[in-house]
Amino acid sequence: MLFLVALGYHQGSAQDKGVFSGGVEMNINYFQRDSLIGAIGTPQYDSTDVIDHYGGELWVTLNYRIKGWEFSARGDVFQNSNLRDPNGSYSGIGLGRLSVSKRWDRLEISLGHIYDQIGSGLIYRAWESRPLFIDNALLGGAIKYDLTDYLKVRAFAGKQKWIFGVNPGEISGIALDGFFSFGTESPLTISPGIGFVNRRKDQVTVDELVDVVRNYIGDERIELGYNNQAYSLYNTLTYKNITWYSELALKGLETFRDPTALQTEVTGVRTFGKYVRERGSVIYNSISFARKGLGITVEVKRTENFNFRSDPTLGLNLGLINFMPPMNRQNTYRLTARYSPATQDLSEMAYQFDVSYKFNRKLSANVNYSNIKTLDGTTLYREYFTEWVYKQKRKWQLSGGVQIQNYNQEVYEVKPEVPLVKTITPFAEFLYRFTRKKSLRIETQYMNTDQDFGSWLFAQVEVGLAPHWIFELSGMYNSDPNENSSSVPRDPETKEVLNILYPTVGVTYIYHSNRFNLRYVKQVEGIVCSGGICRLEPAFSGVRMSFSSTF
Amino acid sequence: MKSIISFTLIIVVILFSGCREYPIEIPPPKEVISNRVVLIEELTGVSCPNCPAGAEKVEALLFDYPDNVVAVAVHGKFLSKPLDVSTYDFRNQEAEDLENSFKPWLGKPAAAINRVHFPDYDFQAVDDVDLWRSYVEQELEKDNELVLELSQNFDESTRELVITAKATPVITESGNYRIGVVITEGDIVDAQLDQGMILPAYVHNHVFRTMLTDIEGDPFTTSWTQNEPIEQQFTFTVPTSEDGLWNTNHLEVVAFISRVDGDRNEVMQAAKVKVEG
Repeated sequence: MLFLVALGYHQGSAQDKGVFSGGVEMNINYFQRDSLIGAIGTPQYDSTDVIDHYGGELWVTLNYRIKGWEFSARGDVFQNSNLRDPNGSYSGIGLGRLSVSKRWDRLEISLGHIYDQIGSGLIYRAWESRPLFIDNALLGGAIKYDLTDYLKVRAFAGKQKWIFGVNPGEISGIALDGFFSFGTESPLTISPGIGFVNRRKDQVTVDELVDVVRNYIGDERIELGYNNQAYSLYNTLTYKNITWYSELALKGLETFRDPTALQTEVTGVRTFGKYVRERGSVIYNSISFARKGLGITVEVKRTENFNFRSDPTLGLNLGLINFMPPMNRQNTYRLTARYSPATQDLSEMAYQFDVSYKFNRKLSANVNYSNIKTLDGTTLYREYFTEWVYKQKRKWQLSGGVQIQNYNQEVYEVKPEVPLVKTITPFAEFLYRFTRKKSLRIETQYMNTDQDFGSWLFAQVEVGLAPHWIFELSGMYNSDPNENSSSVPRDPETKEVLNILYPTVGVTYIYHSNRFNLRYVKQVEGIVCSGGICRLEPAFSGVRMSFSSTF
Repeated sequence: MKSIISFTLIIVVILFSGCREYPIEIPPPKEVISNRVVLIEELTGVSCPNCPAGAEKVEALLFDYPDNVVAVAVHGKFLSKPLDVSTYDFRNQEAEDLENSFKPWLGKPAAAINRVHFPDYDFQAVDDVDLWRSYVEQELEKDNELVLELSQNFDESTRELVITAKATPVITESGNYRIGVVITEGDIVDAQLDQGMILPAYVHNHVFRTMLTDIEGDPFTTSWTQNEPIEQQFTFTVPTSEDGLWNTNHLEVVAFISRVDGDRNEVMQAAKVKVEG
């Protein structure tokens, strides 16, 4: 790689020096044990060696582009990191990405770690989400060819990346994407596409599955195969102010683990969880209408048996070949984002409406409704959300609204015997600009609920001294802790539930494209999501430092 | 335009014509004949909704390999807190230490099988219950290196339990070898979470009660000479308990010999014996 970069630079130096770019992202955490809030039980908290209380990650990306060539390399460092397993510690160093691509007129060839997706990702998405320790790049090759200016075909093959190695199995695929406009005067355009992905299991995985399935009794035995195919037909239709994206994805007979299926053991006892072999499907539609001041979006998605992994024995967020778009509003406030639903790949019927309207230059509003159920009708998630924003020129801005949620914690967080979490969360935010450079932002939310931890009050004050400094102070207060919850901190002696304040103090320094952030944090356990993929993170207590830079 | 349509049609036909794949033949269940006895240390808990399924996998292994598998159910800390309706609390510091010694693992149930870190699995404690059987069978297929005989003598009046472990090697080898001795208790009827339900009268078996050695085992010998047995005795006074635990009719002694090799401490042979007066 270095040779190629050097070669490219050498060649480029005579005529064209090319473009060099990159980025750095670093996190350093200091874990300060706090048994009261549950910040215990991980190596970073419990180790007697103080050096083990520090952990972090570093990603350094370098890109070089010259004469149609593009070289990318990324070094990844994990030291005592809790990203891979929020309850564990992971250390490792290596090349996280190495790729080269070259474009010749209509043809582009890529080798190495390749990120791409077909359609909305229902059958294939190679992507990265650092907060969730997901990096599903394809290690292999890809070819793209422009058949015409409006019709492009691409094909790829390789293995799915896993940390510094690869997951078992081979993935290959092909996609054809088009764009058609019906005359220069016509308001109608379509962007159809078709995709196909094949996943071939390796012999070790097949042997593992054979060893499991051979012990299934009678009718519960299933067939196994090496290959599994997924197909997708998708299209974006644009007509005047309307955009309609639709996608149908189908998956052939595939072996996957269904945690709700019953298996009979040789002892005669039936237990939950076994491998099944089923076909899968997803239908996804999103229709948007936009007119001056008005935006309406309606989304519908039906998912059945669409677990698609590089290795069917993998669970959680591991080995995912595809990506399911989330069907709820992506909230940003601390309490409105506290309960967020992960997409369900085996059984989900979801829809969402979103309406935004700008009454005038000062006043605008947003209303959102989402509803997610299993295919047999069990409520998973429901949210009503409304927000009003009033802008007084550039001087100040006031926004506020309310969110009402139902959240199936038993399913999303695998917490047995817990009731549906029902919340009502009013919120408000005030932004005041003293001068062009000095601003004050205050936000507050109150979540009323009788479930999980009980009710919360959150407030944050943020002072901005542009262009360099942002200071923040916030607190999340368990104002009415739930007596029946086993998660709520209790007095060690009286066993009474405690009203705990989880404070955060932080400062951010920005210089050009460099951003440095230092925060002292006490944080309750909660869900961390990225685009509908979520995981439960334990409580955190300590100091977080982050640095990011692009060049 | 014609070429585009033709090309598109060809692609569609190719993609949707489908690939017929002949299924893999699934053989009947394995029946491994072995002189080895494999130790399963199952990380479990009464608040763990998936753990009954794990426990049942262990029972299925004991059903198929009654003389070749011994089990210890470790109720450490994670998901082990008693339920509101629980009568007993199976947690203790030794169980927690033992559970922690297998970290990292991603969840429960998980099981350490002969304390081997299998090369095709990320962690020593395997949290995919479907793989337990194949790993147990892999261990059973290995050559047996020693015979471990366990005997006990229990005095009901003093509640003193004398355990004798006799290890007879079939190899000659030098190294660092350890012995571990665990007391387990079975037939304990108490609540257990199972998915979204509480099973009020669940039968807990192989529950880790105490360990008479260090959790890594105590030093046993530094060399084996073929057919020359080595014996060690352990004495333990079984506690009396008003809550019904430490029932001497339901106690079992589990012992194992392990080979220390760098970071590894893999079990060579295990054995069990019921406590009987």
